[in-house]
Amino acid sequence: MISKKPVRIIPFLDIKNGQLIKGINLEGLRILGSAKDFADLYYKDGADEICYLDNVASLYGTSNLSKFIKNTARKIFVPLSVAGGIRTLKNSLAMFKAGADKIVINSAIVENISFLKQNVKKFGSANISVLIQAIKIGKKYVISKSNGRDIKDLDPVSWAKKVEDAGAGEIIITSVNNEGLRKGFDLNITKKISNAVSLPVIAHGGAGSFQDIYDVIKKTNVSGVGIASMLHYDAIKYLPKVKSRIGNTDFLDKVKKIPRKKILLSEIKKFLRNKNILTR
Amino acid sequence: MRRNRPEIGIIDLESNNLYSIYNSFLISGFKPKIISPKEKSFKYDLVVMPGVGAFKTGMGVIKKYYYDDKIHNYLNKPNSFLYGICLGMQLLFSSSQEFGYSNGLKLINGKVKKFSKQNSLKTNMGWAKVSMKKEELLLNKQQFDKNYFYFVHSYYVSPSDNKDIFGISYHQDFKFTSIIKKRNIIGTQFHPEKSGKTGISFLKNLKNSLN
Amino acid sequence: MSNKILYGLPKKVLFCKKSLISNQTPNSTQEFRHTLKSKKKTTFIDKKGISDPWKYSRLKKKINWKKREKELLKLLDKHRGQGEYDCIVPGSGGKDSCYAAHVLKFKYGMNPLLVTWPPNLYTDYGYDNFKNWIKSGDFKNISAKRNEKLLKTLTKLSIENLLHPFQNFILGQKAFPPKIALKYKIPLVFYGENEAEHHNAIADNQKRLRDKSFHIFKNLSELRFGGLKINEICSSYNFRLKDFEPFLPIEAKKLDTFPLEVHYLGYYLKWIPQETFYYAVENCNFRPRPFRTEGTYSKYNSIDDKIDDLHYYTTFIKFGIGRATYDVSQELRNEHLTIDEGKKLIKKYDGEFPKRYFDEIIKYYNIKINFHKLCDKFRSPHLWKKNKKNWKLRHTANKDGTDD
Repeated sequence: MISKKPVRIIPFLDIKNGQLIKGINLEGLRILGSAKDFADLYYKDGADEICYLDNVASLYGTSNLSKFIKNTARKIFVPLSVAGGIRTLKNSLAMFKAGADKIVINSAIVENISFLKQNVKKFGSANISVLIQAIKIGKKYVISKSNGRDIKDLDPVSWAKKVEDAGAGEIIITSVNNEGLRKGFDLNITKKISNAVSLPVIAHGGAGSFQDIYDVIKKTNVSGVGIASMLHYDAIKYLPKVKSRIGNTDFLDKVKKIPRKKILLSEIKKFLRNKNILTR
Repeated sequence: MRRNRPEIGIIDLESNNLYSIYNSFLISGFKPKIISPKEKSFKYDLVVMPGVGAFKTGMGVIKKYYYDDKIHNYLNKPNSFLYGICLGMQLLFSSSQEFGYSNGLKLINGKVKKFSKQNSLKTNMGWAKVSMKKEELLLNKQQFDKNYFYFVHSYYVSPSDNKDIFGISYHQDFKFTSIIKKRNIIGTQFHPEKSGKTGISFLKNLKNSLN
Repeated sequence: MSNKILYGLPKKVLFCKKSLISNQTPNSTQEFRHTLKSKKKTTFIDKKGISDPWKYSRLKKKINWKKREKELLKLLDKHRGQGEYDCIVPGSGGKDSCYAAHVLKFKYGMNPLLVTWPPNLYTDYGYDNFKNWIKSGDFKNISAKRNEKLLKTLTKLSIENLLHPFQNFILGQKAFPPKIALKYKIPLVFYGENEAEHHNAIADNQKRLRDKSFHIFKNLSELRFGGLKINEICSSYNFRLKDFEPFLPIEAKKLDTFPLEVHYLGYYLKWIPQETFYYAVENCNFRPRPFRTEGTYSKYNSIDDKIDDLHYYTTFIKFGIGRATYDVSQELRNEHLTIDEGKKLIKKYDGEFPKRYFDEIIKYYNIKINFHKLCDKFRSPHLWKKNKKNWKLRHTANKDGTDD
């Protein structure tokens, strides 16, 4: 029987000016290296998809990833998703033309959900993913836009349903509170949202150990797992450093490069397979 | 006698990623070229129609540049071969349910239908295996049974004639056609250019079978 | 016709070409002597348009940090293990005090006592960070206990008389920890960064030690709170001198016999604010604000006091520079942003009104007068122009002021 789908392991890359950056709770712009190096590495290592996020698009009102995608689409033959700064249909088209397979939208549809409907009508549901950044404040969950900068007092679960009705093809749930900490996913909100919709859902924010990844797959309905810090802080030891005039390279300057012994991505998949989770 | 590097014309339906298609065919040993709307006829060993997005929009572009006529004329020539990918495969059919009712190229009999909530998730997104027919015109069955191809679609094709079905896959528990083949027309619901090394192998096999 | 100039600010408004800070930016003030008539010393920008803080940041690049660390080790060796606690780290659980305390204990083997002048109104996440700060090294903390009524009154006065909501916090933060140092006989106090880096002259920056004038006094009569003398406040609002005790700096003569040294850890260790954020999260469970700070783009600077956001709004009113300018200026000096990015951020966020906690603050401090009308009294005419109903800056970093 070939009915079960393997879970998708998806590296998430935050990109600013072609460089890979990594924050905590969506704050901080520490540079870890050249984003292309990381993307190429993850494709070779067996990533099922790759997602690029333009971290500062909403901050500067820009939409800069098309150049970057064009470059990476040449050698990467798995699906590429792009998030950040998609505000008009022109932006969307530019991303597809540059090589994106899926575009991921958040801020623009929080402000105006009909923008989602327009994109779905023009490009088809399956290519439009919606990013939901869930933030827990006290005991309550709300959503945020502009990459965690501005919050809107909306319950993420009801927002997810609204977005499904408007035609989204997929939902990415980022737990802002867990993001960057490598201490596990927010299983609570991830489960609530994935149970509330009939769409494929990707969990993101908090992957730190193999067990974390297994837990989020086993305990929720997700079909994909977005991983960032856990992969990047490993890969950074093997990839070349970048010389950058502007930007926070203080951490990168101090990293000691070592020879590579194991491939983290395949170790993750091996761990999952040993626990009866189907992987590619 | 085909050349060592078959020449491919890629139809641009104006809403999708052509870089990956171009590069994946290039790396598989083809000589790809993006077809200009100005070309009155196709002079290629293989014409590829990759598609992403809405059926109606895709048909709109086809009509705009008279690709329907050009494709029909091309297929009547000897040694022609048409390959539709994803939406490109769906457009080969008679009609689609998407956004009302639209006509397709009518090269393959059958309809394009929407995944319903009852059977499965609305979108089939992710990696799935393909189970293929025994007549191995294109592929080495052993090689591909274990491997995964990448799918992303909310509509599926429903061929009227079983003979046209070459490969099937599952979306959760729902069986659907993932490869069609009719004479010199082939279509895959999956994206070979997005299926990693497996996809590249598929294209290499396709190239070998053209000779 | 020339416009009136308040606070003794420079007549011509200039912006640093490299770091976008303006010459209207006040230097660190001795808050105890701060009255409405005080003339502000401000950031100097030379004829080429380069500011002192920028020049200092270039010098900072050439510092031999290994040498500085050796100096630190020498200093610490003298004090390590003395008494129950061998040094004091002032703070309230922000990223800088988290870093300072943790690195002193776990890297340098010291045993710091944490001393806190609590915020006026704790934010929830700020209070969580405070608790985690203490937990991060199993530290002991001494938090100042103040007469809450007096605290409220002083803040109300500083708002109404000086448009300076943060005055008592600034003076308490500088005066209280040295007092505890004296009380518990711990002569070594470590603050984080020298705040002078952000606006003062180069000479001020090259000091290891904080100037004594920030935490000592000779006569009570020279002190001012909210612009008023202590006896005035006592008689008008029914307080006693005793209630003022936690707010007072140290009597100068008491330091004659006690070798108090107030150091800047930032003199010895290379301080990169963004990296202290990462450090604090990874080692002390520090968390940024769940949303952007109003008036700027960041989420991790000074987030524990609800009044802080209002404070930066008042600097915008009085000096024409808001929180975004402060943050941008620092990041430009650290080479984390390009000038273009800095300008865009200032344009987008500077002067944004801090709505979130405003009503709560007005209610809590019983501010009866209209706050916006109060602000208008403090706008220096050489900085502000009124266009019909709206106030606009005459000069901005983006050169889009009314007079640019």
